[in-house]
Amino acid sequence: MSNSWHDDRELGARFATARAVEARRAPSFERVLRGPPRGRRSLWAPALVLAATVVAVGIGIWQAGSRPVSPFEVTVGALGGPTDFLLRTSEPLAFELPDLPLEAEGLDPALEGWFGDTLGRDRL
Amino acid sequence: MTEQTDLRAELEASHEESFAWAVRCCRGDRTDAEDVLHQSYEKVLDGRARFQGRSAFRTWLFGVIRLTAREHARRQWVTGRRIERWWREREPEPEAAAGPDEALTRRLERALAGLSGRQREVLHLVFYQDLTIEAAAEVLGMPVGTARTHYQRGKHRLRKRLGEEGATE
Repeated sequence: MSNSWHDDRELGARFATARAVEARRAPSFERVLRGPPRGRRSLWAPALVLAATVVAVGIGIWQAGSRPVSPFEVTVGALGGPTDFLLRTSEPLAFELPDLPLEAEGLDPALEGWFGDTLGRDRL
Repeated sequence: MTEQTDLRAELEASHEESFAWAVRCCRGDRTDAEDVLHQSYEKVLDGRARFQGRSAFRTWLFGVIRLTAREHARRQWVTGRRIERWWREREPEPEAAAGPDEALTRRLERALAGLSGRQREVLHLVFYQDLTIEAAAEVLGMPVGTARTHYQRGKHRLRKRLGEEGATE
């Protein structure tokens, strides 16, 4: 097929060759109209989603394992205190708080007054 | 029904050219090109894309294929199929029957790979599809002057790259 629009015979000839090669390799019209066979759909995308989910769950478990959260823990903030230091009790906090033995992690000396007034210094 | 039959006949008449354009729009991926062309044909036949007669049928159809290819590429990012495609591209392409024509075509493809996407598209439409620069501009949705610039620069760069390839072989 002659090309009447371009102004370069040599490039035109190269593209014409490519067109002839491509015409031999093109899938039939009927096949394209039918659409891709289901079997050709690969499982890559679902496999990637599954792998990402497994990794996310793994990271979640690892994170949770590095700092266990239990009903035995509560923050000072949640008790009405001035900051969010973590308190750990040996029994669930559903019991009356001042009666429970308590320990504070990373306790700031500046908070001692609040602990003393609220919970009793001897319980820390 | 007659309109449907006419449309089908029009699609079939330009099928080979449409497939080649779809391959170009999918950056050489023939599997994607087949999917894109299938979706484009469906759009045309079920009326989601309607030919208004403002340009030649083939020019309009090429515009539909190009838009569909862009939608397809966006969907691939979302569904992760882009990664699958990247993986496929890493695998060496099976050597086609090693005739002189195939070798020339591969050389042309390698040279085209060094051009910008727009230059490749304009050259393909003008040289391969035999469209005028005006029609190519319409397919690509760009001003004729811009298409002409891409055409001139692309042609110059392609000649240079083909010359370099010839010198190294």
